[in-house]
Amino acid sequence: MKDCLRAGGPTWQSVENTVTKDVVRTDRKNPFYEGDDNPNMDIMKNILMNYAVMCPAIGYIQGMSDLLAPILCTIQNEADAFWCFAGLMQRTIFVSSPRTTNNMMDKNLEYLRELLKLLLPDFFRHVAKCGSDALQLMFVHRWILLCFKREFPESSALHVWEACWADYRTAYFHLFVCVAIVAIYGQDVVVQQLPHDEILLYFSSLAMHMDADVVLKKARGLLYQFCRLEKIPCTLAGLCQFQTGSEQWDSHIQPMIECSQVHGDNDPCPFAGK
Amino acid sequence: MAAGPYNYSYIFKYIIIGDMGVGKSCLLHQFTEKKFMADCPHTIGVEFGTRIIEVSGQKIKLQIWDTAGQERFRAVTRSYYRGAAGALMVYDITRRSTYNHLSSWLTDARNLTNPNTVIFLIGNKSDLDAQRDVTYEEAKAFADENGLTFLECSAKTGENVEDAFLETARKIYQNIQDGSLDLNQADSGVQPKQLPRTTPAGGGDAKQCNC
Repeated sequence: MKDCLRAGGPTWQSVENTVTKDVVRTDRKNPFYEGDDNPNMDIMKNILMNYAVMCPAIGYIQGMSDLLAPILCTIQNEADAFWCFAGLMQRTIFVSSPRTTNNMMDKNLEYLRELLKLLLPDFFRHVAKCGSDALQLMFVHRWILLCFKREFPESSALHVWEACWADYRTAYFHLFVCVAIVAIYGQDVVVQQLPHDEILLYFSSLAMHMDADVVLKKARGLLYQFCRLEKIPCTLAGLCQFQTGSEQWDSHIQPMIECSQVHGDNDPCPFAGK
Repeated sequence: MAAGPYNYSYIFKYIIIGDMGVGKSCLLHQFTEKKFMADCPHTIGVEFGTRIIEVSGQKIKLQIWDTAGQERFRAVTRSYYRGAAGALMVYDITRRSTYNHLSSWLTDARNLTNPNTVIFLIGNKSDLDAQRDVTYEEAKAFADENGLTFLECSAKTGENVEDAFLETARKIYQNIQDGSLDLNQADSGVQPKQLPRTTPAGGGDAKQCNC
């Protein structure tokens, strides 16, 4: 097993310690995991350890146990839950390399900043005024990492997961959910001109107090609004697929993509001058 | 009015760092809520707490940032450390590995904060003396060598938790009084209350594209 782990990386022992520490503090209020010596915690641990063996370059990352817990609880079979979890990992940002500048978290945050700028300009202007640390949008990190799992009660969170997994028109529906939450609950941030730290405090206090149905409805509306725009900035060109076909919203023309002149990379913009 | 919750002279930014499972969130919770949070879930992303304290008759708002022990996203780490006036560096007295990693946490803290940041070493879980894996003397020697203040605390019983947070604030306040901490410096971690900081809209990261 030791060979599975990279030289210089964490030792097998430390991976196991990390997993053990997190398993005992994941979803313990759920009846499926509650109580001392609950055998389902051992199953959760087995799955996470097996995943770390299968994907040694990823190993175990904090947050994985949060994503696994509802899967195991729903499927109630170790082998099936393992493969289901492994499949889910493929579409999370856990599998992207976090040490490079081009990691998935940065990409998600870049898209989200652009979406906010486009769809909620007042909110974006206020956050930008709070400084570059505020623009890291730390209040959404947990939303994105755990796909809102800690923001809604479990049955609602699973509802949100399925809406995101449907990949309808976009593989980034979760970002529309983020914008929806800000649109519905974030107006006070602008009205009261909250500073950076209080923005963080404000959004973290919303956890478990939001209405998932309202949020999803709003997110779907925002996606519709986005897809109907006549032109979108080049920074958001990769966000949605605009292919025509038998889809419900294919009656409108393709949006024009316009160079916004403010993207981070130094490659020439393919949309410049269009 | 004098006792109003928004009446304070300074904001100090604190960060809590250390390996996963050493009790960072529990220390924060004990300090802000005066309660032990059993079954505390592991932190994902950044969490946050505030409390107003008093040092030498001045009300100070502590703004305490708490992050995951295993933080993988660099952008977060940088913003997290930046502008911290105080850093609480925590290990678990019952797990030697968490103590052995202190030098790497200390390197990060020194590299990513300003030279005046007050770093306070906390040996947490002092209530579990029977399972002790690191002696007080050994950790005290490490703290002295590195110029850190040190206390053993228990987030569970609350022992020494207030002292650790308050002592850090006293040191920061002292640095302001004797002029070694320059409040005009952008990353001092201390904001006088009536001084809104503004930065140009758009932030620093956006670059012009080459087209």
